[in-house]
Amino acid sequence: MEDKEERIETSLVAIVIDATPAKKFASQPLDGSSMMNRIFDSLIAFGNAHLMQASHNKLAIIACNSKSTKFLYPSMDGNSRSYQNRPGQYDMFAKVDSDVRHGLGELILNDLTDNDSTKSDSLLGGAMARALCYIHRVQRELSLSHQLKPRVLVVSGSCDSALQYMTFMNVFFTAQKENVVIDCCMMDTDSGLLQQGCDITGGQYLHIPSVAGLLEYLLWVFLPSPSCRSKIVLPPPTKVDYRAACFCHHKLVDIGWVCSVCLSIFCKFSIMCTTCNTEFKLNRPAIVPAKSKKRARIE
Amino acid sequence: MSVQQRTLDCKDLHEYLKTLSATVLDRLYNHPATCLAVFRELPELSRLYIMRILFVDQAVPKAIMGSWVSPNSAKELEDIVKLLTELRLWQEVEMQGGLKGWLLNPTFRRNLKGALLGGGNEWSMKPPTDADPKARGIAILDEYAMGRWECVLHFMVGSHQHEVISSDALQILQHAGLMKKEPGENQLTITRDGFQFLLMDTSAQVWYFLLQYLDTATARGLDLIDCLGFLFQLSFSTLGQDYSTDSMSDGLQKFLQHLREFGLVYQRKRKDGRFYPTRLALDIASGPKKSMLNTMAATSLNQSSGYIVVETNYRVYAYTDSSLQVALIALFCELMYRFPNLVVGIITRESVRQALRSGITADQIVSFLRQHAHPECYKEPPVLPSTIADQIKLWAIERDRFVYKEGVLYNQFDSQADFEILKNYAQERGVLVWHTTHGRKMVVTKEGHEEVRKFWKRHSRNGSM
Amino acid sequence: MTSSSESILLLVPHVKLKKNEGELYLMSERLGWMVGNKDSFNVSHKYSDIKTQKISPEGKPKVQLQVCLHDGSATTFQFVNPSGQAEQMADRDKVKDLLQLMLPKFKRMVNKDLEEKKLFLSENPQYRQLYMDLVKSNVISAEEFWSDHATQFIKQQQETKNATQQDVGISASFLADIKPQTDGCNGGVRYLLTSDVMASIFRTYPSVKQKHLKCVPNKMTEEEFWKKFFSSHYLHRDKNINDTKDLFTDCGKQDEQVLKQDLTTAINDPLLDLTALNDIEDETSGTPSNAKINNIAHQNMIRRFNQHSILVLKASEQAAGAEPATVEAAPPKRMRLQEALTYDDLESNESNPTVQLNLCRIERYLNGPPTTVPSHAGVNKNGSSTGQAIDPNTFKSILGRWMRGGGDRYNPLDVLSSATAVTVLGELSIGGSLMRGPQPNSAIHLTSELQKELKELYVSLSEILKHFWAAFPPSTPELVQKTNRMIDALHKFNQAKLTPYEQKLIQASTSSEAENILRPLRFQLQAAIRKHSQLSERRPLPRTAVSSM
Repeated sequence: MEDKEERIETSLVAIVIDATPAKKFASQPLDGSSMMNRIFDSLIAFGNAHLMQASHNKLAIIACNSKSTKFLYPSMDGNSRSYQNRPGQYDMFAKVDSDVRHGLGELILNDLTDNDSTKSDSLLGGAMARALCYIHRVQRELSLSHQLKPRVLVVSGSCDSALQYMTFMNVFFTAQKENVVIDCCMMDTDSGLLQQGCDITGGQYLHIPSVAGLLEYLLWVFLPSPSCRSKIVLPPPTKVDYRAACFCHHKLVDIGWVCSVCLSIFCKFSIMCTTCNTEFKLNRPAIVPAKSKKRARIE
Repeated sequence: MSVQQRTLDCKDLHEYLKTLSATVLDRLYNHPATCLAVFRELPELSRLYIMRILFVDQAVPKAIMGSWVSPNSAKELEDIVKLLTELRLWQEVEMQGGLKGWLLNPTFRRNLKGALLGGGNEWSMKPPTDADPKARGIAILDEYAMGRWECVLHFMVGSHQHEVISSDALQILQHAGLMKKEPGENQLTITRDGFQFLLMDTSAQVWYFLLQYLDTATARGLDLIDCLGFLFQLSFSTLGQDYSTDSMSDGLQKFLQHLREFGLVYQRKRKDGRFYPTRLALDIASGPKKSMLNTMAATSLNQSSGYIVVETNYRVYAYTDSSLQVALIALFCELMYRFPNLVVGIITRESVRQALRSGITADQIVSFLRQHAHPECYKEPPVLPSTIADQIKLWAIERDRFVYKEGVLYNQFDSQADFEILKNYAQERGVLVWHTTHGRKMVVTKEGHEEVRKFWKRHSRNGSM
Repeated sequence: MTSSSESILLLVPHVKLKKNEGELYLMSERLGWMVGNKDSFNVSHKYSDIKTQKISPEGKPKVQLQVCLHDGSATTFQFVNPSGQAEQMADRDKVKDLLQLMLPKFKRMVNKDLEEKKLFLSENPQYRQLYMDLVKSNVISAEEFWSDHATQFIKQQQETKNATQQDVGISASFLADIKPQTDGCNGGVRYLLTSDVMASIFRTYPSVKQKHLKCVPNKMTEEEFWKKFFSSHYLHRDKNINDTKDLFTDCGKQDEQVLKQDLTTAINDPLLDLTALNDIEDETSGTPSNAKINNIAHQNMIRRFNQHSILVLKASEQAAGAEPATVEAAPPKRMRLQEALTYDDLESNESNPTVQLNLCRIERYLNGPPTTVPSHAGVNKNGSSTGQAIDPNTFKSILGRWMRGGGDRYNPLDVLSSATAVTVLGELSIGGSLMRGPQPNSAIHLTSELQKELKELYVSLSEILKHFWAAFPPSTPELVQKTNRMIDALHKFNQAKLTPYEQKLIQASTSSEAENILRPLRFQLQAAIRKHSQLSERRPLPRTAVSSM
């Protein structure tokens, strides 16, 4: 007589949208509209498709650009705006639609009005961190009879930012520890960092060849929950480049020198660590006179 | 007499839909809400299949679709194909070059897409143009819904301190076989099925009740498809939002009044022009499965959330003041003490046997205790001590040691040879229940009796000649 | 060959080996035979090399003894004592008996050594593997392996050696364990004293030992001495020291003196307050005289105990060497006082001297690798050219329209056209462009077996290299020799291990891959060989080079 006490699975998808390349995509026409419109519409449709899967499913959408990050859904405004249904659309989906359109538009417009010409990297890492925080909160608030299956889907089209490296790494390992799967859908560019993140957390990484079919890619690869993914055939994992960059020349190295004190990585040997100023004393005194001899000879 | 345990046959949405005819199904899929409800109840893999071909307006070859799953899930794929075909969600078509492919039901595709993105058929339920001056809060709606629903249950349990329910509801109860009128008695009494019904969780009760209602819908002059469509829309409506009745047909208006009586919708006045769905109506289609009702209610003020603590010493503590809940517990518990907000009972062999006799199954008792477990119990699983669950099941098995079969006894054979011939004949036919050479007795099933008797007559006539 | 320090245990003349007559020597560690008038052994076998001995059967004309060695060879000695066969037999039996005595001792030693090595290898898989790789393939010899490479083993062995040095103590009840044997006819009781028991008695009562040395051979016989000892009061608990007749009276006195002396030497600790240990005098006790009598018996016993304890302490000090004693004397008074006054747990722990990590460029940690991933060529070109060109106002209007829901002509179903969906479906189905795995060239896939082997190769090579480089700079002849030895080992390694493995790799994959995989190993190897050849070029004859330095 075995007793199964099943807990209801609640699947939470937090979509992190990188809005930095919005302008780039807006300039590219696509079927009478612009590529940006297509991307954003696809993302909304994907979010709703996730909500459509089951009544317990939850959705969060966070967007970021180089200035700020913003929760689009559930919107943090508090006051609910009136929205109009498109014919036949489920009420709840219409609300998501309207919230995202409004929030995302505002975010991008704010960036424009700032009129800051200096181009900087997107705050993707920060937005992902917010997603993790939100997941953590939902997990805590969830009733005990429910079980949360959280994942993060990053949709981005901008290059890796070296400045956010640490944030990214912290996010990846936090996600791994919290059993949050990180998926990533890249447009236009590839991201070595996010490849690592997906690999670490067991998520899918996909670099899509064309933006027009974004929704189908999303539905195909990222809609199935991680538990269902084992049953289906998905694109094989990309080979992830885990090489570290040396601190001196920012070259990716396979084998390098590591400071035994501060763990800095160097591609070339030097007698002093330039990060922590530790001198590497070689405990072979015989070498020192040999060197000095040589030097003397050279001189 | 067969005393085999019979559990209440509560179909889930798909099983119900499969009983409907193909034309009815096709018409049903004209409602986006129905499509959404049907879609949500599908297994995850089949949902994925639909999502993948949702935007593909042409048939997809079977071979390609078969390659989407990994080889060890091929069995699952078969089940999916069967289910989707049965529900008429897709159909097999011949493609160019003789390839067989699957094509998604166009109506279903259009309306599911519509629900997702817009652009499909309109939903008939719409918020009124003007705001309700006397808008109702969610708490009030919850209270109303539970009050109405419990009223029905109270009636069944027989605690008549509330208002008597309407004749329509009575009819449904009788139709569903939950209550019946004993011949010569005026009063309705609860049946075996009724007891089982009581122990189901609220959303399953509502679903079962509605299925029974829909069975009789056509008899009442209602359109089944309209009613189902409306019901599904209701289940996707927003709690606390009011909806207009303006565009509703007369039939639906009537249906609405029935729903109002059971607490699925709230309407202040019949002529108000607006109504509010309640929690009972939400997510109704997932009924027999575990619903979110319990857990959602747990966060609200609803009392029906977990209130039972069972200890390993068979004591049951129920933190409740509802006479209905007390009555439910009393179905299988011996009550010991009663306090203003607490009832203490004990599960005994006798009390459980009493419940089993009245038709409740052990599984129902166990799942009832589990579903209504106090939130504190969830903190340290198992929610219900396994000794209790096992013991209740053991007590149930205890009763199943006898199997009753009807039959006819043959005895007083004149010779051993006669006995052997008849016994062999009955055995060949597979109608022999029991026999003993000692005293030459045998029992034949009731169905086989006629045949055996004829054979015997033939045999004895031959023998005499 | 013969070292003079060896003691000759037995010398048997008239022993023939292969028709030559000579003398058979049984030494403490080996057996040797030499022709009569020479001074060095013609044949010499270590006992540890001998597996068994065999003798010719009774009644045979020749009296022979054969020793079989571990390596399978055997040597046969014939005893040809001219006094006759009886004497020959006696000679042989003498040898046989002695061998019988000696062989097990050495056999155990050899076996023990072997067993220890075996055990060590089985407990340390990495050394086992190293042994298999280096010794079995004759890259280095077994002795070299054990002495140079298996450093851990040597350490372990030394540790066990140190540990076994502890003396075995004496059982507390050894005297009681001497069981008397009743002699049936006399009615007397006889004690059997073995040398072990005697030694134990001496250790327990050192004064008795002195007495024994003084008396036994000249004044009385061994038996008399022990009889006296056992009947003496000294042995008994309430001994009366005043009994002058007893032989052991002065033993008691001597003990007293030793005890006193020990007391004074031990109580040089200024912080030790012995009086604190005294029982508090019960002043109200009624019968002091009675108590005193009891006390004498008690005191005797306590004294006995103390004496015993001191002996035990001394014994343990001796075992540990002289060090503890000096250490105990060393701490000066002040330090002891300091120790008594300060409590570690009450001290604030800020005194921990820590070296602060002084990072001058923290940002290096925070920054990741630069974006080296090339962006999609086609789109990028497109994006960079038109991306700048878009007019902010146009952009705003596009965005604004999107925010309001797309405008009039917006069809929500446009988000994905059927044709596009079919294209994507093709890409993501089996055989599609996105379903292809990473290029096979980008990663080298080795079977787990080959991987394991590669790992082992690395381990063994680095082991040899470690010793090679450890010998640098080769300033002494030993070190030069070591480098030579190691270079030989490296060459052997290259032939015996690396080349066969490379062949295997080439079979499993391609030669270029094999080359890639083995490149680091070869590089290490070449570096060492190059260095060595440079060295020998500079000093063509290592020995002379060293001597000239």
